[in-house]
Amino acid sequence: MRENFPFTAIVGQQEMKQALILAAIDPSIGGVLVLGDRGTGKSTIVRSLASLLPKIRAEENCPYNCPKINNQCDFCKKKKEGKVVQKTSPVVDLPLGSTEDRVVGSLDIEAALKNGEKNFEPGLLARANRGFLYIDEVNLLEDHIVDLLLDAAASGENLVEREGMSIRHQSKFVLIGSGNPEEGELRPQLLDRFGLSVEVKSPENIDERIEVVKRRDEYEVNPKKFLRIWLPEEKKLREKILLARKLVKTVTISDQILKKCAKLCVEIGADGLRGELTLLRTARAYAAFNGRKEVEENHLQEICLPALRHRLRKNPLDEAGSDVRISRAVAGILNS
Amino acid sequence: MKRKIELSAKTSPKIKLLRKAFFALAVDPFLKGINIRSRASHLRSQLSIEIEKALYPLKPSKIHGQITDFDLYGGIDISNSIKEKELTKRTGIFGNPSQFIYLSMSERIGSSLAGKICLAIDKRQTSYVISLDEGLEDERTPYSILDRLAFAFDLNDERQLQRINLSKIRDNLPEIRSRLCKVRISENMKNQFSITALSLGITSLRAPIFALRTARALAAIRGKSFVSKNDFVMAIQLTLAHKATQIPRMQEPQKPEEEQEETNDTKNEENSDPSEINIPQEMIISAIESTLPKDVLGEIKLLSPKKDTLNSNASGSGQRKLGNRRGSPKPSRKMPFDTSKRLDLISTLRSAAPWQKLRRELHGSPDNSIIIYKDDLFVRQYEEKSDRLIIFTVDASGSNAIGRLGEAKGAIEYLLGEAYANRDHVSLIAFRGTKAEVLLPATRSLVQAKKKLADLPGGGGTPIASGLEKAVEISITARNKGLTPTIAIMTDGKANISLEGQVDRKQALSDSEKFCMIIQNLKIPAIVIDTSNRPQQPAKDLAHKANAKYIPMPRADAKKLSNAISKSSNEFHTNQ
Repeated sequence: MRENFPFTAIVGQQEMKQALILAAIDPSIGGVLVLGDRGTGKSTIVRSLASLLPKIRAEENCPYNCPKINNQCDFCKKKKEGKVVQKTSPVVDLPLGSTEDRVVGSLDIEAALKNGEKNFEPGLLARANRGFLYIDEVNLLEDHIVDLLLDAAASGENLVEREGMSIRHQSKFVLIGSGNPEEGELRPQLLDRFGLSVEVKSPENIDERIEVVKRRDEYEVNPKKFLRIWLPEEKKLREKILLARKLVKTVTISDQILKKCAKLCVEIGADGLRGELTLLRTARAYAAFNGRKEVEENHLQEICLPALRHRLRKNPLDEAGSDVRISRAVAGILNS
Repeated sequence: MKRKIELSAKTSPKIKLLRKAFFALAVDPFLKGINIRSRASHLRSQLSIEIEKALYPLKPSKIHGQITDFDLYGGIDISNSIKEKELTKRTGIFGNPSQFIYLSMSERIGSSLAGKICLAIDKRQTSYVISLDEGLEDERTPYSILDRLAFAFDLNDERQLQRINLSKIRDNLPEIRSRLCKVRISENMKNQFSITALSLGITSLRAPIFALRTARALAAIRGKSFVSKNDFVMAIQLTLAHKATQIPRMQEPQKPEEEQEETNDTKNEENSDPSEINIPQEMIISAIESTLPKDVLGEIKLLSPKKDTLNSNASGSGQRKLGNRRGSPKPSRKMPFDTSKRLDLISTLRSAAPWQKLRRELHGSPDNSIIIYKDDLFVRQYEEKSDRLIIFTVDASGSNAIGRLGEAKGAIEYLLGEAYANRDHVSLIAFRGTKAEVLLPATRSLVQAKKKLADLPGGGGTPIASGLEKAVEISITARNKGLTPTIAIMTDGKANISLEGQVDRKQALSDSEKFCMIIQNLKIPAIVIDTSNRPQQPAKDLAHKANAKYIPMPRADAKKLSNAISKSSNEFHTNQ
């Protein structure tokens, strides 16, 4: 398989890249929703994550990417000895129009036909365990599939009850959905369940566009050389992520900052408490990424747009962007 | 090759370009494919043969709208396995390097199939993709696929085809390819691809990358190691012209008022300074213009991605009325079974039961076995309630505008909000002056509807007939797509412009009555909202003739209005 385009070589799209990094540092932030035009490099960025992220140690051949032989999944149960290998962090594509079978898994027809055994054939949710699940055009995906995915993403488990089987397996992944809002909107119930939401635009700066084409061309002409050039950058970022992952558990957050989180959510009128929780987790991950031990106010300021943008109770026809409303609330609360 | 060129002296420039596109494809598979727009004709059938010949030894594998996952991705052939008592597998279309994908009727491909194809393209599971668009009018290949193919041609006006003979290229392929990665290109040209793409309104960054690669391929085919002016211009003609959504240089007057464009424009001019760049902007533009169809503006409007995707979206969500997963259950029926469907076990057993004795004897099976044939299988079916489409037909004429256009706008805005909550589709038609205009084809994007509405000017005559004509047209296409249309007409009913656009009160009245009858005959639920100051006869008559509900627009009470509309459309829904 050819190597992906390096993450660090992608021009622009800073907000999206940062959101993905933060979600990689702390998966409990929840999924990332990417809204924007086509051909802006959304897919490229997501796929390049696979090579950027630190490799995971996992049982060879285990379809669930178990860290080692345990009695958790039905693959490992059957095995006595395991062999732990380094696997690239899974980034699984879920095509639009996937059936439920392919997503959650279904009866293993091969085994059923051959040996008359009733086995479970893991689906995409199993493959994405401990990694990322990417859905392009999530806004066009059928609602019941989206619902299913969000359930699995939130609980970290996939529960399958079908064809006479009852299976439960681990499915911890970061959901990344992308879409173009002009083609159809995502229901607010689903919107709210994504942790972060970013907006991408195709770069309008001509120099940036030229740079994109040039880098892409360099990569296509000689991928090996291109990857070699970008290797140090990739490595640097990877180490930074690894460090942040260790650090994030120890980052503290003061009551004062928590209070501001809550105030912010009340001010913009976000429903439920997901807003506060996401703010808290994201700010922590951001602090860790910057090597800090405590969440500071400017950290909060940096991440509140992606964390809150999609939580506004919004008149669908109101064009005044949510960004403006959030910035106003932020200005009022954080700088007071 | 020389002989071919002599032969083709008479062929049109477009066909020549088509040939070049195939040359480039043969050399650089990264260019992925061609979208060809052509209605069923002699030329089209010839073309299919030519394409197959040109891409030989690759075999075409057709993908059509109803293709199953099994055909695409392969897997275990269940019925065959059972029959042969041995596991048989079949490879799918994706991931089969000996085939190229042939999308027939690509304009009918729904968004979910388009998604699968795009993913396969992105993951390089396909070789070439040839998409044949047989669409009429505004039906198009999904934009997501178009964006991933380097080339596109509209051959509807072409008469004569030229042979696409790739044997010369194929013979020298290793040599040409080895040259390909060494082809040099000036920095200016590289930049110019991006600049040109932007000035043509192409936001996707795939286009300039395709252009760059095409230029290289063309140079390599000529046996050169650098990209010439000719290669450069042809690459732009081949890859950028068809994706254009605006014409360069005409930007100033028709540009939307976005500030960031200004900076680009100034840059653009700086860069196109002849002293800096060896290719004058005029040359590029004239090259592009030569490949654009005559009705440039009309075409460009159609090509703009927004509208296109809206269409594909609408067809995708409305077309499938009979689902096999969701909705209210319908009686199950016998049909070929695959894993995407749900088996109705009871019905299947019931249909197999009477034959058991016979079958057991036939197969010599023990008495306690149940033998089920493929034909016994019943599949569950569900009916999805089709989506509602509300067609707002707004009178923006002088007689109305002075009075209550503003209020009408407010009411529609409120209704749009309701439509959003109900997941309805909306469409917006305005009539004023001499004719009606479809401001927004069926869509769910309310932001767009809102924008269009806000920009709607008022004044001029009252061509009701023309407005109704458009509304009927939209209703019919919507029905074909499986939507349930409702027409909401907001007018004072005082028609004074005939269908032809003449000022003729009598003719205008009879024209609009004609369309009212059509609405009645087609049983399209309709509602007439009288926007005149006091409820008056003309609008009442209009409503009566169209068998529509008549509501005088309540003063500043949009909610009442909305209730009335949903009631009238629901009544029809249940009556039908």
